[in-house]
Amino acid sequence: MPKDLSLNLIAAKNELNQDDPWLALLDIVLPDATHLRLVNNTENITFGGNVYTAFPFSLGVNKYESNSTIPGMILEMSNVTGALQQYLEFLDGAVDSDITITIVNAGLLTEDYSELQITFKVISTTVTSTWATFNLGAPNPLRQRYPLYVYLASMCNWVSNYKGVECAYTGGLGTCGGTWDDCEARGNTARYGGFKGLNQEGFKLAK
Amino acid sequence: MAFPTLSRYPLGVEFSREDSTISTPLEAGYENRRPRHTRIRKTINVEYDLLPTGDKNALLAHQDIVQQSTSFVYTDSNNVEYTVYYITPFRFVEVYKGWWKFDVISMREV
Repeated sequence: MPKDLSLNLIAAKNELNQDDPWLALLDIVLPDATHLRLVNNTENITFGGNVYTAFPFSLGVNKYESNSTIPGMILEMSNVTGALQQYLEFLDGAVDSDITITIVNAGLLTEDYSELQITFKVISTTVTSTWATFNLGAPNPLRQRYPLYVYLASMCNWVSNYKGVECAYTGGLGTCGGTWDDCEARGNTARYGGFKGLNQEGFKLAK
Repeated sequence: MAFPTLSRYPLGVEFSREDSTISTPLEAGYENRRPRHTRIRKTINVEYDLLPTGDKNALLAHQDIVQQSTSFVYTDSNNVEYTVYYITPFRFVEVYKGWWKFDVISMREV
């Protein structure tokens, strides 16, 4: 399926002689919610308001085989300094971590790269004194939220991402209970993520 | 820890830039090219004529500490600073008593 890239990215991609490198960014969310941001470059990169630290790693080729094996990828990260060792020891090899790989053009860091992102789960990990090797696989669809939204009259859908894009509350109150009253107290009812028109008694499943 | 100050100026300091370009030669006669990284690292080769024993000891003491792994600051004759590490261990001979000849000292930017 063709990717929906911006015109600037398409132009940069198609140039015979390119001015800027294409870099692989890693967003690693470990099971303890530690978020590591790394780039395989000779200097740090700021992307999306976050600093990605220059770090030596290499990505293997995406494996797609016909013998019923799960598609996956090998990620090798330098372990010479032992920077990863402490995480791997405390978190059982960081198995089940989410790793998002984003390919960006260093000269076009403000473009939309959502089409050039892919997220993997860490399936297994091996570590030597020089390399930490992660076997990456597809996320388990059975653990994804389905249906995506729950339609409730009395509970806001955006409470798990309070002050996020959908909520957009910018005031000083630190937490939200997700109720209509909480939303009123914040003067943010125009963005309330519940469905007040629904019957508030019982529940109904629909597909 | 900075590169030690020696009693002799170097005979010459050679700078070379890392080639981080990727290219794909094509049968049609042209090629695709792009840089691999945003910063180009330099390799610095410093050559000294004969050095007295004091300078030799200063160099060896420095490399004993930083070895080929720890970065340090090398300042060139134009007062430009480079954060570098040694690429190889020193190799040196005593040409005659009290005077030492070092092979080219190679350093690379981190």
